[in-house]
Amino acid sequence: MEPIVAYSLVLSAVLFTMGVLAVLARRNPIIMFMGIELMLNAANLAFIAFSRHLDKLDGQVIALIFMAVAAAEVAIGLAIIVSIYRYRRDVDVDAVNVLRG
Amino acid sequence: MGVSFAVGNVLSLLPVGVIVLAALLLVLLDVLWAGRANWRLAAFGGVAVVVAGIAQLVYFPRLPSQVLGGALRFDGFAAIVALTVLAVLLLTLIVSPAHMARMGLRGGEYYALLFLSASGMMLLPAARELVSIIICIELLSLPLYVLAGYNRSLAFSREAGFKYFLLGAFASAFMIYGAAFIWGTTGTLWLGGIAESLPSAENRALLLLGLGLLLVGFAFKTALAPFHAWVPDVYEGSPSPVTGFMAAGVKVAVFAVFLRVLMEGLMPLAEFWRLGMYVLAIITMCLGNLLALHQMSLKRLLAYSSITHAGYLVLGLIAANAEAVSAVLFYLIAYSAAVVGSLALVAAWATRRTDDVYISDLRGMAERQPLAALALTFFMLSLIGFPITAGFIGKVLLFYAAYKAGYIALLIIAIINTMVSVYYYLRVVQAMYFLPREQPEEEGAEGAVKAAAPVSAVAWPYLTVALISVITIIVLGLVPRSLLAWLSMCSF
Repeated sequence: MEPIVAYSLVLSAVLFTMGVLAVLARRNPIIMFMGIELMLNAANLAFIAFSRHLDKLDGQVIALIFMAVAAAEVAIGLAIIVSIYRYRRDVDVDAVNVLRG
Repeated sequence: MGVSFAVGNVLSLLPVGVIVLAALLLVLLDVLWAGRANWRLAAFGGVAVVVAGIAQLVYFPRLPSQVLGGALRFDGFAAIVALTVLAVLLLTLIVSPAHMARMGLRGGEYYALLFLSASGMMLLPAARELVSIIICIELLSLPLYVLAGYNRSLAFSREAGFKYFLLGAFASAFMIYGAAFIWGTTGTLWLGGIAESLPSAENRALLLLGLGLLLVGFAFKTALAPFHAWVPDVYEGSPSPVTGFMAAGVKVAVFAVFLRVLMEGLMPLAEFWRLGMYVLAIITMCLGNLLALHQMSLKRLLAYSSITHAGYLVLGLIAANAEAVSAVLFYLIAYSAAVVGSLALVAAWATRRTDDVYISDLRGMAERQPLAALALTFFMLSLIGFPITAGFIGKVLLFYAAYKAGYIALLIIAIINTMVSVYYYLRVVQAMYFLPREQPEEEGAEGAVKAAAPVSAVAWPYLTVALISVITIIVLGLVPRSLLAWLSMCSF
């Protein structure tokens, strides 16, 4: 395995682990969501690294496909988070006070 | 990869095509029929489902036909899963308008999302390549995230949508990362190609890492313990018809594709995944049962029971022999009938404030609504696996497949778990038949919640769905050969 491939894989593993930790350890929905994005991009990086290793272009195409999938997930996820947030702001008065500090 | 991109037999795409087209038309019709068009949208959807079902039967793939260069291969297995999904969708459509009206929800995109999710479920068992499989899983999941949170005025439902989304996306990321390692070590994502190149794969450690990540992703999607934590919350919070649709449809589609991935793509690594699944099966069966024992909410009880049933189904995945294929399918169909029927009754009895039924609400139900109570009893018996119900035949077939593959210890654990599960299923029946209805004056200050117990008669849509499910359960329980003859056509 070429060094650049190995380094990229190590980087992708680090990114993936950071993403998992963000989802498991943080309680802020947006941060958890960012963790998931990090995991997806780690997978894309792994695909591209393997693409170089195998000397096949497929991996890059697959990475593009999964970017589209991630975009669809972002659209749905943000919509859900916004709808929850809107309700909270309207209904939960305490939360509004807390935000004002 | 050397696969010529032949479009193939497009006619096998017809049933899915009808469903996707109907989804798009439903968006359009919602605009045209602005306002209270719940019933009309559901009726239009019902017609589309029947058309798709007829198309599926007419073009029943006796010989496998390939589409899109082989990424989708339609065979008997995929067709039977598709027909099951269509049946579940039709039953959901019958229940939905009445339930939406009671919950004060507009129809709108609800029906379109149901159809899009169903199209993913129908394509999933035909997919033969990991990228297609992951995209089909996304196609079935994304609309369900929205549907789970559809009742936005309820905090439960909003939370369900969010939790389902977060853990679903988390699981997808695991699957994609796993697919990356499998691709990197074998150089292909086709299930057949993976099986061929696995023995000669150079980097065993990375390959096993990929396998593990993929299994974790699937375990999340099929709700195997310890990856099950989202299930009770999502099942409880989602609108009841959606819970039924997702409990039945997702389980059918994802277990079907899981079986196919394991048997067709990963058989050379069987020693590794069998070990992992063995442990998961034991944890899932025991934990699901133990947590179900003391549930007060019927929806949560069904959620834990769905985890337990996923544990039983893993027996079939581990066995991975010819018997297991038809056993898993039979079990899934029997389970779908019982769970869709029970959730139709939950929808009928649910209060607007919680969209849920508590076991205490069921007390004395046998006197008030004998027919519905009898139907729920049948569903519970089928979930237990009581003789003359479909659940019994399903369990016998599944346990026989595990026995034949030589997993005796696992089988004994499964049978003990079945006996334990009798307790909480019969608790529901006992509440309906043997406990008197609570008197309002006995209740203290907290009795206000119980005073709101549903007393209204069960409307015909719910009852229709319950009766169809009961008939399915009894017919499959008494003459299982009618279905088994079909299922024998779908060994891979």
